[in-house]
Amino acid sequence: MDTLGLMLGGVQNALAPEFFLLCLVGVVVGMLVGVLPGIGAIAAISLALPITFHLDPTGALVMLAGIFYGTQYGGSTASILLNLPGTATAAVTCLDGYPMARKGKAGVALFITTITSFIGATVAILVMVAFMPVLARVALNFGAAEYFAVMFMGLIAASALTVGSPIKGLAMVVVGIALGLVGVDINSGQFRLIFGSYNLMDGISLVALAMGLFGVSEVFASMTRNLDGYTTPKVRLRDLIPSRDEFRASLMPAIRGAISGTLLGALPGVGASVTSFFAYAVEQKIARDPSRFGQGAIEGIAAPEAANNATTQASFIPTLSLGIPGDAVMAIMLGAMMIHGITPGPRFITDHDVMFWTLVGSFWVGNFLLLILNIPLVGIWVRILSVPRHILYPAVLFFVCVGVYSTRNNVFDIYLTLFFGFVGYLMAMRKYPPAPLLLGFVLGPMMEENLTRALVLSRGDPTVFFTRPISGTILSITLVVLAITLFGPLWRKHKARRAGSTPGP
Amino acid sequence: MKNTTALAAILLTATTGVALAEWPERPVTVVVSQGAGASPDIMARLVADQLTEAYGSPFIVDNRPGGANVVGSLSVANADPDGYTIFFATSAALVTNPYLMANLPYDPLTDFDPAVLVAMSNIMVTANPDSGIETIEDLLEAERANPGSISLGVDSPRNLSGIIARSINHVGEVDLTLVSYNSIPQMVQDTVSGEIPVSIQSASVATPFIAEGSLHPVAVASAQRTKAHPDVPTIAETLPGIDLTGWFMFVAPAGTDPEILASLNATVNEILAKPEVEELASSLGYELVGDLDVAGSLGHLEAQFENWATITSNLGIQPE
Repeated sequence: MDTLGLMLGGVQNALAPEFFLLCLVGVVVGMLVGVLPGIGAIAAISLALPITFHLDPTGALVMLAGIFYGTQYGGSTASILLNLPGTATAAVTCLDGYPMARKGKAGVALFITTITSFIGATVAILVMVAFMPVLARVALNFGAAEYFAVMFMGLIAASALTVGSPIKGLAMVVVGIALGLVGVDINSGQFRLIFGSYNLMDGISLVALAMGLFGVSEVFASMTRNLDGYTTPKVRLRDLIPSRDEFRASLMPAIRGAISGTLLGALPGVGASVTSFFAYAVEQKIARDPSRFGQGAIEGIAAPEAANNATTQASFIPTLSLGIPGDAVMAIMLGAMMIHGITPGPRFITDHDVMFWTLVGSFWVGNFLLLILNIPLVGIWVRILSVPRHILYPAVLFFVCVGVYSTRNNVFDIYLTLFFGFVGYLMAMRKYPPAPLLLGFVLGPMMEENLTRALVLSRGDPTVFFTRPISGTILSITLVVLAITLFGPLWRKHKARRAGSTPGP
Repeated sequence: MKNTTALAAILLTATTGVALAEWPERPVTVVVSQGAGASPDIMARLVADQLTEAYGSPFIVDNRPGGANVVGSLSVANADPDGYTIFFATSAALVTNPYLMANLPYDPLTDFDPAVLVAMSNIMVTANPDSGIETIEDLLEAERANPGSISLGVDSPRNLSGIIARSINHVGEVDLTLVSYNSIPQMVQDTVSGEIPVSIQSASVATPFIAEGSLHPVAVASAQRTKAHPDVPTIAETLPGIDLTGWFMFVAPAGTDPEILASLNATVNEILAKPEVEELASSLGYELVGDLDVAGSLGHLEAQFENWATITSNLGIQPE
């Protein structure tokens, strides 16, 4: 049977009452949990895991997958309304989503993220169906040098995330990398920068860092802000629905985001954090007026949201077709499959074809359900903003503490969040951007690992990055882009000066 | 009056007696010192689910990851020895950490009472099928023929797989280049794709890839061949003295009622004898133990301590 027929058969299976119900339960749970700041997919899936022991394996996977992508939909809500990202991905959505909310456009932002999330997921599902075996094979060709190249590209893209002083942005990337070094040095097995604390042996918690720098610092800042001029934003239905222009402005970014999200998502280990930063950077680079970014540019939420949902779906490609989980969440999914005696791997699709296509079918059904469920909810979420701040912010801190604690069941992470909240507050006062710090934190250790591994494998020969075709191509493109970024403005200035000096008096 | 006192006394003794007989009368927390989905977590959930059924009272898995198992271990060491906190401990938490980490905030021998050894997680050397390496002899010969040419994937030089690799180097008098991976799946992918020829990981990770032919099993690191792979030789058949295995053991905070430990031991061993549990565990790559009483489990723990003392002193590894 052709792929399209299999796909439609899968959708049909997924619509059977049993799977439909499990899918619905999964996406609703995921969405609601995702809205709670910090309580991400990992916590939600590990809580649901024991329940699935008693389900049939397909149903279990349908439900767990629903929780996973459901949290991605919910995750943007807290970022946009309260500047509270639970993941590195959601931090990108904060950059323009929160400014939009402060301008009274929270409804529009939520509406757009819902729709672009759906677009992202749909594109990824279609690509997955059509190219799964090809993508899986390409992913298999990715070694350390290639990963390093992709991550280097991501880090260069991060330079675009700097609104304001590029020096400050660069400084924050470096601080982020330094924070990322805390923990075990993979090559020697020695601990670095842990200051004798076993709480730091596994490194700094990403959730604690993200929530502290973004959300908690915002709460601190609000304490010092003059409340006299503050009015609760009014929510009118008219403000909820994006205008035609806003729709048009977000469509192409969403599609671009979806495509880059799918391609990068198919690589195990790259994950959504890199893809949403990358999608954001691309939009900022090609925008006619890049200065709007960080002030509430609609492309700034459309592209990364599409990208991260595309990645979420695409990360099933390496997990299912190679048996290699792309991230921690996928590792749990893999664990769930193994508990049911199903072994993912190249033979999974042929051995368990009905299960596979039902699962893929359920992805689409689940994303459609999320679209339908989310739009009426936008009006409700936006109302959170009309809660007076002396009630809202303590509640936010409470949920942040619960969320941070839930990721590792460790009270230390709560103190860490408060510490980074204070640091973030100081940074905001001096206009040091937190997003580059977060990207440095995520990418730094991954780059270090892959850089050293590539060099160990080549026995110290650095040309390996350019002699391997995929890595060579990616690095060359990155260097050209870097050159344009660095010398473009200089060249333009030079031209302008010449143009300005030639006309006589 | 006399009668009521007597009655009270009888009731009192009866209730204490019943309290033991009826353990557990409220949910039991099963601490796992690694994250959900990690290999001890899967096994712990499998057994916890069966324990819930057997006792008719919930056994809840509580993931306390962090600090190379220290965070979870410490939380159990400090818990009340009332039988309501038990630890699904890994060999890393119980015998590896004391030899690798200075200032370990718990002492495995005095802070915990072993209840039952559950399963062995065998570690396996695997090779890319096109690498030409089929046995440990091949591996040693390839390296000796061209010193510095063979890369060996491990998760960290100070973890179990790294120590196996260093033992191979030590006993085999070679110098295989260790390549470290934060992500074990990434290491497996690199071995499957031929980026590295050989890697060391737990059999639970390697088994599916061996079954489909994308990895070749070279040797297991245990002293005896395993039930799941009887045709795969041990490393010790070529390089005598190497015996390194991961394992999972239920322990409770020191001072837990011996009757509770005995009850847990008996129930877990009954569970491990069930064919469906055996089948599931072996499909996950674990070898169930199922025949050790409390004393036997303690004996295993003490023997492992000696083993690690020998290995780390042979390799010159100091706690840090």
